[in-house]
Formats: sequence, C-alpha cells, structure tokens
Amino acid sequence: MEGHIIANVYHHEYWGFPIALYFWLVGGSAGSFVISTLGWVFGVKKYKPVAFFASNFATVLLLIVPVLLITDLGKPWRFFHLLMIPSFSHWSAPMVWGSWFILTYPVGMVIYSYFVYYKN
Amino acid sequence: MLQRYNRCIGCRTCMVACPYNARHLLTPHRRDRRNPRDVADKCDFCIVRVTRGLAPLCVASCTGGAMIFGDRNDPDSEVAKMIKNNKTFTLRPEMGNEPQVYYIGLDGPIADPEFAFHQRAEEVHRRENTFKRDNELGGDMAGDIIDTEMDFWGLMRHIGRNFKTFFGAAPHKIFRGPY
Repeated sequence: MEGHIIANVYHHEYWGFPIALYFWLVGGSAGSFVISTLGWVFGVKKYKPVAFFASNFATVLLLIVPVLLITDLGKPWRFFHLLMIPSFSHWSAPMVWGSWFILTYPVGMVIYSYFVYYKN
Repeated sequence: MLQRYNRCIGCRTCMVACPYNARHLLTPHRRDRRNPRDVADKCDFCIVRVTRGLAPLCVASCTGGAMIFGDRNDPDSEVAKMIKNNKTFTLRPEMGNEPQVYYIGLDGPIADPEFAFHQRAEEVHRRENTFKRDNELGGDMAGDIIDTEMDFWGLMRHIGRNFKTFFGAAPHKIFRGPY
C-alpha cells in the first residue's frame, strides 16, 4: 500500500509475472552484453574467452522475450499493430519504441557476435 | 471517450496509466461471441442510447433517481442547474484531469482513493476467486491478484498458481481463432 501512495496509483498490477520475467531476461541480456564487451572494448584480458559465449547468450535470452510479451497480450494475433508505422502506431507510445528496440537489439547482437567470432 | 476495438491489442498500458481505475479488459466469455473480447474498454455513457436521445442505462434504471445525465454547457439543463445550486465534488481534483462526473455530498472516505482501493480490492478478490473456483480454465492469465495479504508464502503460492494458469491459458488464447 505504501508503494501505491508513493507512486500515486491505486490499482492492482495488470502486468503480471510474464512482464516481470521479461524485465529480468532483458536485464540479464544487457549484463551478458556488458560482460562480453569487457574484453574487447575495455581491455580486460581476463574476460576475452567468455566474450563469444556471453554475446550469444544475450541473443538467446532476447529470443524468449517476444514469446512472453505476445502471449501476455489480450489479442496476441494483433501484436504487429505495434510495428505498423503509417496507420496504427503512435510515436508517443513507449510500447512502440520498446517493440522496435526489442526487434533491432538481437540483430545488432548477432552482428556483434559475428565480429567477435571471426575477428578473434 | 470512445475506442476502436479493432485496433486494440489488449496490452493493458492504459489500465496501468488510468488514475481512476476506469479502464478494464473485456472478458473473453461474452454471451454473444460477436461482441468485442479481450480488449480494453471504459464506460462510454451508453453512446448508442445517448445518440438516440435516451439516457444512459444506469441513469434510466436508477430506482432512487440519484443520477442525472445531461448537457452541462446548456444553462437550462437540469445538470447545469444542479451543478450551479449545489456544492459538487470530483474524484482526484488535484491531478487536473477535469473529470466530468460531479458528485453532490461526496465526503469522508468515499472520495479517498486509498479507501476506494481497499473496497475495490475486496470485491475484485471475491469475484476472481469465485470465477476461478467455478471455471475449469481458472480465470484470466497471470497477473491477477488472488491473495490479499502478500507474505513470502503467499507470493510463492501466487507464482505457482500463475505459472499454471499462464501455461494453461496461453494455447487457448492463441488457438481460438481471430476473434
């Protein structure tokens, strides 16, 4: 109840366990990405061997995320409404930005893994 | 405020953002399957009746005549006169949303959002538990509160039950057709 007073919201959690798990997975993915960059960007030699595994692990964690988010929707078949720029999407909606980030971030991670593997 | 039901994806962001608990998700168990389901909705003051010259059904069916519906901009209407002659209150005026539902004699704990939260919480829990007890599917997906008090073991029970209902309801939600 104190949290409700502090945040000035007086209702129940409409986003349940899948959304909490989504934040946990995204946080784990970002942490894994940071660990993989330690050896290559920040020059910590100790973490160079785990860089390839860590970058791939970040991608794998991100592949679980859309399943959770789409099945949590009331209308799962309409998830593409978030991605339709001209007609349906509002750029003021944070969820539209988030869905585009979730789409583009794994692509960048795959490119990054490619360079980690072949430019070793 | 009206809504396009064919665009809503049911992500519940508007329900999280609403300070009045006004928005809700329409149940998938509608009597008429042609009605919109699993989309967010809000009271629209019976727009179908109002556009045909009738009062909203809550006003028309109120046995005590406690509710009045009308055009506030028209100074001759009953609503405008009542607002002028009585001291009226709105819910959460400090937020500056200017809600157009005015209350006469709204005092004490009724207008307190904390009190309203507790009252609504008990009602929601009772209905949710009744629905979960009487239905095979077990109610909605994960995220609905079952236990009022959340100690450690209550949280563990909550997670376990929501895992079950989440994985039980996910294929049903996906493979039941386009509507």
